[in-house]
Amino acid sequence: MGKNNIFKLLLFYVFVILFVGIIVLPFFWQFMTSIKPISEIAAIPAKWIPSYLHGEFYKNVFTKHPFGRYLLNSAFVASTTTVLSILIGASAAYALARLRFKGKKFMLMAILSISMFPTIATLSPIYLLLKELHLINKYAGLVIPYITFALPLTIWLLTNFFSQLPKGFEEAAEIDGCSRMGIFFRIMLPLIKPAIFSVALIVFINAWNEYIYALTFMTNDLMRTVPVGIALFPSNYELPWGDMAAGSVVVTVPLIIMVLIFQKKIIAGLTAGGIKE
Amino acid sequence: MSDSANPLSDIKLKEAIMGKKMKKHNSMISTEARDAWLMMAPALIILLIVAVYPIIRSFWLSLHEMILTDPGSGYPFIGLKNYIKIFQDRKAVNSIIFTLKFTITTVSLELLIGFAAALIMNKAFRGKGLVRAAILIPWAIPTTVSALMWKFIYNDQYGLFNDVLYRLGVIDSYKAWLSTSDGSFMALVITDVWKTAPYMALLILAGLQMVSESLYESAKIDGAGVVKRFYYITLPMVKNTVIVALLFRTLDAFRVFDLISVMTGGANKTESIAIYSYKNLMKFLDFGYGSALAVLIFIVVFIISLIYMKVLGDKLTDMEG
Amino acid sequence: MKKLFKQVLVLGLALTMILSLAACSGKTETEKEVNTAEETVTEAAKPSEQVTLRFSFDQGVGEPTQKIVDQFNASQDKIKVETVLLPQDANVVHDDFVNKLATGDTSIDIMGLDVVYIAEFASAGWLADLGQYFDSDVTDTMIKGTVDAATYDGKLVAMPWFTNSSVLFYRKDVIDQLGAAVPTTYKGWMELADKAVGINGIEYGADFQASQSEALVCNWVEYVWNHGGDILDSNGKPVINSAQNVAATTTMKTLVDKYAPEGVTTYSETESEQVFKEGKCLFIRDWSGFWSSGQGEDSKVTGLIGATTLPIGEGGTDPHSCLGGLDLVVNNSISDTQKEAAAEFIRYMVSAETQKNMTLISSQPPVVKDVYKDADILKEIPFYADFFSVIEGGKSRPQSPKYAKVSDAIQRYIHQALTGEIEVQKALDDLQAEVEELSK
Repeated sequence: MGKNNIFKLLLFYVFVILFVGIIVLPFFWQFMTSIKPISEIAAIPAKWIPSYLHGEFYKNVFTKHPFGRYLLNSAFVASTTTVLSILIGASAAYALARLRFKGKKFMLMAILSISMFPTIATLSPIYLLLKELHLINKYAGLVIPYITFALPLTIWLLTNFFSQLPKGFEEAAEIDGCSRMGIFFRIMLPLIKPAIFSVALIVFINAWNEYIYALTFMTNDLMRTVPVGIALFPSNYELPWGDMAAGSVVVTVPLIIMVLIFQKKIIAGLTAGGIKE
Repeated sequence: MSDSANPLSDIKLKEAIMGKKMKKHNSMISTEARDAWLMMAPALIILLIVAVYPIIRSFWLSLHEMILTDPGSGYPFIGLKNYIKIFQDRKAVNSIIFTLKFTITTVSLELLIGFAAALIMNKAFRGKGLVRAAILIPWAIPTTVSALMWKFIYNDQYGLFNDVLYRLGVIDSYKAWLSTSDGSFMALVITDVWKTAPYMALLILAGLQMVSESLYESAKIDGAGVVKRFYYITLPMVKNTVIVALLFRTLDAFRVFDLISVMTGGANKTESIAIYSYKNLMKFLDFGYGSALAVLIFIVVFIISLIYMKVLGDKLTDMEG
Repeated sequence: MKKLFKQVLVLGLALTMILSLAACSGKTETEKEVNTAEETVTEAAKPSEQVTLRFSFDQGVGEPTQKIVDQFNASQDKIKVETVLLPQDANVVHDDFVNKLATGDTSIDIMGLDVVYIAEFASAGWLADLGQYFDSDVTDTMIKGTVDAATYDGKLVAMPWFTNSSVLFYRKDVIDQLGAAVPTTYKGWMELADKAVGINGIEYGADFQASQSEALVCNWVEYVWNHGGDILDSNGKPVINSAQNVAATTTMKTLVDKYAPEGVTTYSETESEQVFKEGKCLFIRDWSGFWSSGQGEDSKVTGLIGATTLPIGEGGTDPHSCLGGLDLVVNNSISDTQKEAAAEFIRYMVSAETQKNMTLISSQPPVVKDVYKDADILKEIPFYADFFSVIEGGKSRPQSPKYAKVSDAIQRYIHQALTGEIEVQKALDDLQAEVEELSK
């Protein structure tokens, strides 16, 4: 490693730190807000570092509201949505990318068209539908619409990734007597694992953060999800900015932990997956 | 793009394998289409149940004069009149122009920044785990919260944005960024890019992961520099992924709603077409015209998607050739 | 909690089943994972003769309302009221009600609805006529303006629940230090503001809400009324580009340009209150509830606030505040039994006794007149002695099924005039033309 390389490395780190710094700054601010004493939250000029640590907001989040329950609801809805979207989506994507049949382009466009409508125009008809199916205030009432709107992205991306795999693997597997499903689960899915984890993360976060469906389809307080829970904080008497900051930190931290856990999988490239020519 | 860059899809190899296993293969082919539909069935069923009805309903309503505060009208069928009205409605046209401007600006910035972030995340270096998690933070905060947070940040009295720029000496007094048209546009673009560039980065990263390390190695041995390697290996390999990611970002950006509704409420010429459609539907209770605007969004986005589809060509589905 | 674990278990089992299909000898099979999250929070069984009502309102008055509802449930066993809370966001609440009512949904029986939406909901036929359940002896106890605003097309389609009105809060300490009297005109306030800047941290003379939102409409109509202008004349014809209205809008623009914080055209209630609570403004126009919320733990002006009526401008005679508040409305799609029960509940909510209780725990101005004179109330909120006349002098925004469109037009043109995008005169001319078009 020559001098030139060290300099390059240094430059790289400076760039990364700056980049990450700018991205994280608002969240850092939010975090600071969540541990500030009330009087310093909207101080003019802005106060960066709180004069003392203040944990009240975090206590409020869990004592004033059933926030623990909201978190469980969100976690359940988001993970169910993710797992089912990936299974349903990957299976469709596999068919679209690797099996021969007519009308693929049409199917892809038809699936995509689901994400072309403004959400607000879908709200009232879906409410009607869920009411007919008796799914209001039930987890399935959120999971089903979430899957619907996660599928276009899932199918398109996974189709793209499946189509980049060589054909040889299926041929070999067929000879080994694997069924179509066997090939799909045992061979093809593992091959695009990094892509699956990336897509899963996006689907999960989308479901975790969704607001307007969750508000409309879950009217029972025990069934609310976290974003709706936070929206229920403000009242005529206060805009509890500290509570909201603490709430949003509590919502975001599990996601960060999840990324830290899964980042190896997201990144565990195909070199590890076994495609080497 | 260039299949030659992808030795994995080498046609000769495929043919060789296929030739050998032809007999076995034929028996599979007969069931292939059936299996394909079976594998797509769960997805199709769920899409048919949940998504098709709202869409058809909107199309249907858009052909009627249906203002809910005027039930006496009987909601007559008026054909395409609502659509004709769109083109005579200056507000609708302005909102479409704003939305296009917003979409193009944010999506291209997101591509640029997202790609850069993906290249960083793809590199092996100390602390990469933390960096990867950090980059995803903006995407992980609920939009309703982050839009409020940014509104707070742009505040003219106690906002972080003013504080930082003031300390850096960029501005000499605090500004009310959301009170002017240019300021609002800039603020919205910054917030949207901050929020969704990580999404782009994550998808592009997934694409980068599909590029075999050995390709780079052999290119290195052949003496290709960083730029060359990026241009001849990385780009062709991730092109499809990038296009799909761009496509979905474009669809989302064109339907931008939450962000604008919280930050400016459509003031200072920042009314997006989704906001305008929403206003007509939910505020004015004009379900006919509001639905027509929703369908218009659908049509515009459909055309955009067709263009993307054209660029993608047959790459996504027709591996068989 | 147990339910949740069970669901996770079911999900886990379903996943195992799906994954077991992955075995190499497995058959080709489609997955059947439509919904594993079937379970629901089952409602407890109720006695058959009991009527259950669902009452939806927003978190704005969430806690006090919940308390009152609990008291009602405890007071009798014929009717049980369940509450459905919505976020404190007028748009979200409005849209949620519209979504339900437009589809003939009966999951909600009673709603707390903002007064500006009464005409709109009534014209759509969504509100039950309450006239058959209530005699005038109930409405006679109430402030007349609130009852008028609950009446559409001659029918009582809503029941006033609590009202609201704006007040001018000012810095008593600053006025005392200047030895000045409390001004009653906009001009007087401007002159005072010129002198006040620099005293006790005052940076801005004026503070109000001018972001493009309903709050801007409330603010603007007050300038209009207090300059002797109006939106519609007595025949319902728009009279927006009158000389008085031009003067009113110009006064408002002068305050925006010279006296208010630079960002005032981006302020709704929260932002404007924050600057005042930091001690930077001479006065703020705000809803009456700010009297208590403005003097909380996070405020630097606790104990330094005075309250007065809004000022008047040239051409104005008496100050008028914009009336707000919530009405109780009944879903027109529910059964007659439900409606009767709902009326029973409403009767409880607007009785003088409940109104007094609600006022004590919520500091929301009641609609029943006598409550303002109640000794307990005056002891708790002495400010109500003067405030009653403000409420009585308050005016409502125009009542029309097309109000949403009128409001939207006002918001756009007045905001553009205030930010200097277009001239005041042109803004009002264009606004007049647009509202004329609407009232055709």
